[in-house]
Amino acid sequence: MARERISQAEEWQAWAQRYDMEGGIRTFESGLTLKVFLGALFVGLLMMPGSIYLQLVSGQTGAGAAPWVAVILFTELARRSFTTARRQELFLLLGLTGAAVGSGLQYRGFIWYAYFVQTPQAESYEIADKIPFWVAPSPDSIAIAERSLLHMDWWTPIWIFLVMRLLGTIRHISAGYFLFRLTADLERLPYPLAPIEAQGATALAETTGRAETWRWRVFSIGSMAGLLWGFLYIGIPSLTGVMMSKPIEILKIPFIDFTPSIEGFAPTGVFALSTDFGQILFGFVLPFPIVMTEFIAAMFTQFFLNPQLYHYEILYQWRAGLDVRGVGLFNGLDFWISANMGKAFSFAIVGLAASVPMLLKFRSARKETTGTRGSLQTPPGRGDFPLGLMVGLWLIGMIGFVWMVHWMVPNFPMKFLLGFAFIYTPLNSYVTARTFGVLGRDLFEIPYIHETTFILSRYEEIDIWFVELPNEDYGRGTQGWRVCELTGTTFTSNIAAHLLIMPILLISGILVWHFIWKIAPIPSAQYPFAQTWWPIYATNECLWKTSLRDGSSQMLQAIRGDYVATGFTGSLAIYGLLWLAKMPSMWFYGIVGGIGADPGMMIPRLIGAVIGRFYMIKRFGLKRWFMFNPVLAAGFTCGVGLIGMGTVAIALVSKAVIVKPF
Amino acid sequence: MGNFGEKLASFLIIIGVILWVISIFFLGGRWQPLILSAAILVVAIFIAHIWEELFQEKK
Repeated sequence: MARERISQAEEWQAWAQRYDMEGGIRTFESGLTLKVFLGALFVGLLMMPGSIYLQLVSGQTGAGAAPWVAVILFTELARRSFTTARRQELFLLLGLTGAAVGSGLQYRGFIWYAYFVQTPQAESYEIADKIPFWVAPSPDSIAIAERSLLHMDWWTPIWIFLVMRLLGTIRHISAGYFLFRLTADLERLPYPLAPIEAQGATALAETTGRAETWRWRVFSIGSMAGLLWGFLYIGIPSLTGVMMSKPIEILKIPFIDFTPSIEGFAPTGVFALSTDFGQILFGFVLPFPIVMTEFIAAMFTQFFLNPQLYHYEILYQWRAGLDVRGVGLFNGLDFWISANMGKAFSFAIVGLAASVPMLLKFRSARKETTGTRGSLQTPPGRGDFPLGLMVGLWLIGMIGFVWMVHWMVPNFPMKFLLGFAFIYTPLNSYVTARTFGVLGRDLFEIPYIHETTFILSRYEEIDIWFVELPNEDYGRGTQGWRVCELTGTTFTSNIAAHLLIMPILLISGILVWHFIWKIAPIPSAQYPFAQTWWPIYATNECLWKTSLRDGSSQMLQAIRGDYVATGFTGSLAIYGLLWLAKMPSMWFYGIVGGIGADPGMMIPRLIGAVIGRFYMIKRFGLKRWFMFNPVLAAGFTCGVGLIGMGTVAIALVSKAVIVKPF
Repeated sequence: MGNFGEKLASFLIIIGVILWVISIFFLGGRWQPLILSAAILVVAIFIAHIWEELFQEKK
C-alpha cells in the first residue's frame, strides 16, 4: 500500500499541539505588578554584586540558579502572607531577576580593557597605544590610576555603550517578535524546549493557591532528582575540590573518552560518552524522531563515513593515539568545518522554501483562524504589535547601529557593514529561529566570520577588532516569546517590565563595578580567578588581534568551497529524498543535525527518548506524558541550579578564610 | 496544477540526487557540478512546497 503524504503543514501542526500547554486555550494577563518589580529589583541588586564578585573570585556567576532562588523566595513570602502569586508574575520575576543578575557582567569589558591597556603583552605586541579612545582611557589616565569608573575619562566609552545598548534592545525586541510571528504563528513550529521554562513558573505559582495540582508533585519529583544528581555530579567534585588537591569525581566530567578504543576499526571516528545523565530529562521532552535519527546519523558518520573519508585522504591529519579533542580538531580542519557550513545553509533554503508559499498567501493568512498553520491572526489579548511597526523599529535600530560603527571605524568599508546588517543578520536569525523552533538549539554558525571579513576588506587598522560588528542573531530570542505566550503573559507587560528595569540596572551596574574595582586592583590576590586567568586571556587576545598581520590564518585555510558545496548539496539531497519517500520532515533535521556529530554525547538524551517513547507513554498515555515531562525537566533544572549555587557559595566562603601557618 | 506539481518536484529531485551522486563519485566532488545539482534541488524543493501549500488537494 502506498504511503500517504502528510504535508509539512499537518506534521508541524500536530507537533505544535503536543507542545502546547492546556490545549492551547489560555487567557492573557499582565504579569507586571509593583511587588514583582520591587521583588526583582531587590533580589537582582542583591545578587548582582555577588555574581560579579563570584566571577572574579571563582569564575562562576551563579546566574543560572539566581532566578529560581528569587521565585522560590517570592512564592514562600506569598504563602506566608496568605496571598497568591500568578504564573504571569512568576514568569516575569524569573526574567527580570535573570536580567538583573546578568546585567552586572556586561560591564566587565570596561575593567578588562583598563587592565589590558597596561599589560606587558599589549605593549610587546605593539597594540597598547592603538586601543581606541572609545574602548578605554589611555594607560596613563588618572581614571585608571585611581581605579574609578566615575571619572570623566570614562564618559566616551560609557555613553557609546549606553547608546549601543538602547539600539540593541530596540533591535532585539522588534526582530525577535517579527521572527516569532513568522515561525510560531505562521509556520506553527513546535518549540519543544519552551514548555520547560513555562511549566516551571506555572508549577510554582500553583503552590501558592489553595488547590495543589499534579504540577507541584511532578515539579517536586523533578527537583529532588535534580538535587540528587546535582550533588553527585557537581556538588561532590566542587566540595572535595575545596578540601583536596584533586577533586573526587564519581563520574568523569564531562565525558568518558572511547575515541582511542575505536580507532582500530574506525580511524578518525570519535566516541566520547557524555556523563551528564541529566540530559535524560531533555530526551523525554524532545521529539523522539529527531533524537533517534540524529543518533543514527551520528553513528553512521563516526563508524562509516569518517573512516571512508580517511581512506580517500580527505581526513588526512589524523594519527593514532589522539583523544576526542585532537581527532575533532583535525577532522574539523580537514573537512567538517566546511561541510557543516554547507549543512547550515541548507537549513536556510529549506526554511525559506517552507515559508515563502505561506507568505504568498499573506492576505488569506490574516483571515485564517488563530492557532492554525498559515494564519497570522493573533490570539485575543496577547498584546501584539503591528508587524510593520516592528520592521520599522528594527530598521531604525540597525541603521543607528551601522552609523555608530561607521563613526567609530570610518575607514572600514561600508559595504561589509551593510552586508552584515541587512543580509547576514536576517538570514542567520531566521535560520536560528527555525532550528530553535524544531530542535531547541542553534545550528547555524559560520566560524571565523570576522576574520574572513577583515581579510577580504584589506583593512589593517587594529581598531576594527574592538568594535561590535552588526552580525547578530535574534533567532534565540524567539523561544522567549513562545514561553511568554505559553504562560499567558501579555507581551506588552513583558516588554514594559524589561524597559522599566533597564535604566536602573544600567546605572547600578556601573556603580557596583566602580566599588568592586575600588576595593582592590583587578586582577590581584583578592580576585584569584582573575589573577590566574586574565594574563592568559590578555596573551590570547593579543594573538588574535595580531593574527592577520601577515594575512593568513590556519583556520581560514580550513574553509574549502568543494566541501561547503558537498555539505550543502548533500543536505538538500537528503531533504529531497525524504520528501520523495513521503517521510516526516522532522527526520531531515535529525539526520542533518546528527551528521558529523559525536554519538556518545547523544546517549543520555537517547536513553531519555527511548524510555519516554516505549515506557512512559504506555504507562501514562501520550497526552499526560507530554503534560508531565516539561514540568519534570523544569523541576530538575531548578534542583541542579540550587545545588550549583550552594556549592559555589561554600567554595567562596572557603576561599575567604585565610589559614595562618602558625 | 493538480498532481503536476508533485510529479515535477519528484522528477527534479531525482535528477538533482543523481547529479549529486555523479559529482561526488565520478567528478571528484568539485564545487561546480555540486552547485548545479544544488540549484536543481533548490528549485525542486520550492516547487514541492508551493504545490503542498497552494495546490495540494486538502483531505
